[in-house]
Order: sequence, then C-alpha cells, then structure tokens
Amino acid sequence: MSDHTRQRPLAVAKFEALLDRHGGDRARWPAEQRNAAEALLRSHSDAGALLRTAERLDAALDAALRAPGCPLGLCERIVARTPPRDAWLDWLANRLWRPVGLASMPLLLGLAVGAAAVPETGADAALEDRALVAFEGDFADYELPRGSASGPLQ
Amino acid sequence: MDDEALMARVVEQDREAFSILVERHLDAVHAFNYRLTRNADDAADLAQETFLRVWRRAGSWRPGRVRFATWLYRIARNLCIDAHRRRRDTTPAEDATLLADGAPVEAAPAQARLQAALGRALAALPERQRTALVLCHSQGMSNAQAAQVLATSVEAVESLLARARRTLRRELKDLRSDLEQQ
Repeated sequence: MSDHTRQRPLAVAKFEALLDRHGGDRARWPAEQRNAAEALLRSHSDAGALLRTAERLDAALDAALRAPGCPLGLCERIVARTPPRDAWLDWLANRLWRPVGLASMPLLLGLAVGAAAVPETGADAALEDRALVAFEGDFADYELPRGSASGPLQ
Repeated sequence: MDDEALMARVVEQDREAFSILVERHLDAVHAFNYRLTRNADDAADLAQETFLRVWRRAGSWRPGRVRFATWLYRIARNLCIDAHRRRRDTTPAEDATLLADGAPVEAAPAQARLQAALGRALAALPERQRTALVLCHSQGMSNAQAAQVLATSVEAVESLLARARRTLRRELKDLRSDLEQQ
C-alpha cells in the first residue's frame, strides 16, 4: 500500500476510486454513490480537490479525443457500394455454422490438449513474468485500505 | 423505427432500411474509428468497411441476443484492431510527437504540449483500456453498454477505466502545472 493512499481518510480514497471508474461528471455516476459523493464534497476539501483534478482530466480528454466531422457524401458512397447478396449463401452461412461449429469441437479439443502438452519455453516464462510485474505494478500504487472498496461514502 | 426493426429489414436486403441505419450511426462510428486510429483517412475507410460488413453479415445478426449498436461497435473495434496490426510500423505514439499542423511538440505552446502528451499517453494505453475510455468518455456509453461491446463484465470495464485514468494522470504528472492552469 502506498503512503499516498494510507494517509488519506477511507471515504476520500473510495471517492477517488469512484472518480477513476466513472470520471468527474457525476451525472454519469450511479445515483446512490452520487448522493454519497455530494455529502462527502460538502465535508472534505480533499474530495473537492480530487474532483477538480478529475474534471480537468476530463476536459483534457475532450480536447485530445475530439474527432473531425464525417467526410461529405460518405453515407451515400457506402449505400451505393453495397453488393448484392446471394440469398442461398445467406441461408447457408446462417443455418450451417452451428452444426459445423459443433462438429469441429472434438478437433478443437484435441488441438487444445495437444497445445497444453507442449513443454513451456523460456519465452513463455518471460512473458508470464512480465505480465506478473505489470499486474503488481499497476495495483500496488493504488491499493486501498482493507474494506474501502465496498464501504459507503460518508 | 428502431435499429432492430431496421435490421430485420436489412436481413431481407432492404437498402432503404440500411441507408437509414448508416445515416443514423455513421457519425458516431466514424468518430469512434478516428479516436482509436488517430487517422482521418483510416477512420473514413474503416467506417465504410464497418457498414459494408453489416450489410454482408446481416444474416448472422441475432435479434434479442445483442443490440444492433453493440454489434456495430464490435465490428468497428475489430476492424480498428486489424488496421492497427497492419500499420504497426507507424504507431499513433510516433504520430503524436507532431501536432496537427506538423509543428514539433517542443515548439508548441503549453496547451498544445499538454494535448500532445495526452495523445501519446492515450496511444500507449493497452487497447482494451483505450477502447473502454473512448466508449464511455467520448461515445457516451454507460459502463454496462461498453461491457457489452467489449464482451466482458461491468466490473472489468470499470477496472479498465480506472487503470486508464490512473495511467493518464501518472503520465501527465510532469505537465500537472499546465493542467492546473487550464
């Protein structure tokens, strides 16, 4: 657990976790948590500072993810390019994929068993280690106090 | 007429119903593609391919199992992933070292540097984190709707969003003073 999280009151840490999940726009929050957040914001200045940081990140994301308008005439071009579909092929694709899929199950099972029997390589182990390190690094800095993830906001 | 009713007609090769669906969703799909690829030409091409795939595969859509919009975004996302694999040599992270007008980041004002840094940080996020953020923050989806597009649980989407936002805050730490002055 990091000092950054340990020194913060439990409810504020939970509030920060909710900001991470839902963003700074509380209209997008679940109603129950929104009400609890309002109460917290009235009583904790730390919560207000966290909210302002989240709102600034939201605004920066709005700017960074701004998309240009759709090219003129694209809709018409798409509709004009729709190829004729063969009704018989449609029927074949829609009706036969299930039985073909089921019939392929034994083959897929055999492949899976065969792949599992292959000895682990050094590359596999290195990949696993990197994933483990990445996982630990991702959560260690943000581990919340025990019980904080499900506790009410107060 | 809702999307599902229109799709029922598209299955019967009704081009008018297809046209209405394209018109209804094209802007959002194009924006989604752009936000994932950061390339305007790719976004338009991928939007076109997304809808043509809807037309060609209309028969495989299962009404009642998944909403049309969810299916549409799944197709668009898969195409973006394929396009990214093809263009791996010119990653968005490299593109983001230049601003839109081609000026180097170092010569830009603080606000533009901040945006460029955020663009790089976004491009460096794992694909699922970036997609979850785009779906919820920019495309207006609820966490539950994003979970359907990503074929995962709401809890998993919230974890992806939380990790993405933490990473972005951490990556932007050096530019925090710029952020404070916005």
